[in-house]
Amino acid sequence: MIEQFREKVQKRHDIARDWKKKGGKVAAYFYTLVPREIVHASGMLPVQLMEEKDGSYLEQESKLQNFVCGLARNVSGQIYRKVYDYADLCVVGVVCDTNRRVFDIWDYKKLFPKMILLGLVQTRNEGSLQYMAQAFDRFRDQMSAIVGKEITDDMVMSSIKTYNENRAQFRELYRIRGKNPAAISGSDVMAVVQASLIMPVEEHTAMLKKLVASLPQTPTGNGKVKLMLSAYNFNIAADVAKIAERMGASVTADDLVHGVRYSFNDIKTGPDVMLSLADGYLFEIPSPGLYSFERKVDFIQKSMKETGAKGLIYVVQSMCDAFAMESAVLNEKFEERQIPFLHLEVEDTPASVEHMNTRIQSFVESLS
Amino acid sequence: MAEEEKKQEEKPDLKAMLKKLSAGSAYRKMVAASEEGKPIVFASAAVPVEVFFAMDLYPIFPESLAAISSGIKKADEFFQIAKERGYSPSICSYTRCGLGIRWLSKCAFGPIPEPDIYMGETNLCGLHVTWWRYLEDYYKKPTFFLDHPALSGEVEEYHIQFYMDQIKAMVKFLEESTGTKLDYDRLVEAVKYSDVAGMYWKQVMELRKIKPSPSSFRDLAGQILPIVTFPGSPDAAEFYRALYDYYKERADQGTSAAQNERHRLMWLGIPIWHALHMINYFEEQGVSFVYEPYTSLSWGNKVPSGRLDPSQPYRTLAEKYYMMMFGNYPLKKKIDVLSKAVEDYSIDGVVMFNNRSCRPQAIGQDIIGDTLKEKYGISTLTFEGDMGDPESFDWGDTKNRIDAFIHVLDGQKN
Repeated sequence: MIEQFREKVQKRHDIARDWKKKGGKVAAYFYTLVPREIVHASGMLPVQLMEEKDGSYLEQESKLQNFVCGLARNVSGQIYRKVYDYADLCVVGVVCDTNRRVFDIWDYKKLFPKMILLGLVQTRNEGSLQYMAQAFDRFRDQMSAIVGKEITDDMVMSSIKTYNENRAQFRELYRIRGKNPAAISGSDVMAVVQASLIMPVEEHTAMLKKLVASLPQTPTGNGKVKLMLSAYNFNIAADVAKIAERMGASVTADDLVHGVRYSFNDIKTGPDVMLSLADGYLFEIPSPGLYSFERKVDFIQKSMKETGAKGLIYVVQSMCDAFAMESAVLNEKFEERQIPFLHLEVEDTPASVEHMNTRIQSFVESLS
Repeated sequence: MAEEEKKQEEKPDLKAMLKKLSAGSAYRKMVAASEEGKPIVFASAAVPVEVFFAMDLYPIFPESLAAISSGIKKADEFFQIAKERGYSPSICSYTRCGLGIRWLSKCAFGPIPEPDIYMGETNLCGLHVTWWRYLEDYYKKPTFFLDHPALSGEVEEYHIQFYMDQIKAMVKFLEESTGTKLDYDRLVEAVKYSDVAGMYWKQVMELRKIKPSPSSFRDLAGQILPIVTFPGSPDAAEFYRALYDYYKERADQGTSAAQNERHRLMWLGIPIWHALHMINYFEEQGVSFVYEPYTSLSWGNKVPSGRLDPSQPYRTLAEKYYMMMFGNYPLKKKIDVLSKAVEDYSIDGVVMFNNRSCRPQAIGQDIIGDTLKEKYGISTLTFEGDMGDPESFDWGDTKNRIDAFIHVLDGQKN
């Protein structure tokens, strides 16, 4: 079953091209603050620009300095190599300095037929919520102009409900995994999350329902060291999960940016659709600065307790200054709360993975 | 007394004026204010400082203190404590040094008092948000963020309206946190002084179009401080008036920092504070820096008319602070503005500081350089380093590259 999700991820560009062949349009997006519900309501297929496990994108083609984060370099490399040449549009929701500035470059070099930047707020109060709702409303108008049809409140509401169904299935998956980590591995969960970002949501929900139904709910594996994983680069996260699992541990919880973002809370379906979306997107993402440090540690501690995780692996991608700073802050809090943790700052390369191997082994052994 | 001597006597003492507005003097005033029980605000650059002046609040600007500490080689202990607390060198050096200053409760001039309020700004860079959230979390003091969303094109009315509301909310927050009501007349007055300071600063920049340029980028990198930290004070307004007179006279006399100015350059990026001697090295060889976005585009009265409007203090401050963030504009607009500068300031080369600590400025810089090169046939030099942290900066290597660059500039002219 899980192989179907992996296949979708591997063949994601074919999926998008098939969509186009059938007369559809594709919106590439980068990344978590782009409201996919509006893209969905427009009829376009949202496809997240995702890091690829190919170092050549980093070194040869990104045209960005080596002190820029590997994720942005990797994605830029893919764009220069025309991997996303099927996209009719690219939408960037500003989450950091790097993703905003690479937007500027892609826009200046006209690497996509159309580009939209979502300049959003970073505080949460009545005024900023209104601003965010208006920004989403302007985005709706822009999407409407691109697809040549009106996108009504009802259409957006219907898309919110469609995504909420997907979120509900994710919550169920995480619940089962928490109770029975042997049911699905950490890297398999990542494949499910990744697939959700590149394929039609209805199809993903149907696959996820089947997967959830097939998983044994009662604990089947005992004696393994249970871990929680905090990360945002899929390749690194999957590698870490695989290594940990090889060392005899199981991943029972995570706070992947994408997973938490979309699955833990439904978007409310209040009378003002854009305000509901703004409310759902603002401050629910566990990103540095946009999310309280205490709240993040509370969430990690609660997840670990609920799933019996004995230790936390906290992975930061090299050259991401915001996460690097967050990790320094959180490390102090983990120590204060006596949460056993392993902090890894790594690049998405084979050498980094090898380096992690020994450290993860030592960490797992220390918890055994 | 001869007329000339009389004139000399009447000239304001610039050095004394600058000293009055220097970081050291600001530090002493801030300490004295704290001792008198006045509230101290630990503030990010680019917050509307005029409001502080109007409310008799005293700011501590960690970024300015970090730049100064680096410039006078007193930043080591701040970087060291950041390292000990697990702060990776990939984190901005202003942040690491600024946190060191806060943790150690001291700066290059001496101990700093406990701040009463923290105030951040979200657009300078993403790390500012994380930085001030940390301060809020760690010190548990009232904290406010000026929210400043990214631009995808021109500044529009809804941006200004939103930022105006932000400034009003900031005032309300300060009133509630300090128990002091804003004196509206003082705000109007602060805007008036800020306008005068900004106007003269702009004129100082304009004088650099003259050949030879009357000013040195190194001096300007220090002289810009009051317009960043005290634009609402009468002293700042007076200082910039005098500064303009000073440079005007130098321009009239053909005096320049560069000996026999033969090349005129643009500097892209923040000054490299720990190696400002680099600027002198250029000047010794007849090469002036005549334009930098850092001095010309980011501070002062960045409103369409070039003048602030004291009759609408909130609106004019919203326009100023929303529009002055050069880094917030799309790449195309940046290239258009810098292209015009190449023409207006007769620039023959661009030095690009590939600053590891400032990704917002570094990303896309090569495209700016390549475009200007292609458009005007001018040469570019790129060097890598960090604005505040001298570690791994190789002056010997950079110097060799500067020599080769000047050689290319010479060839370009012949």
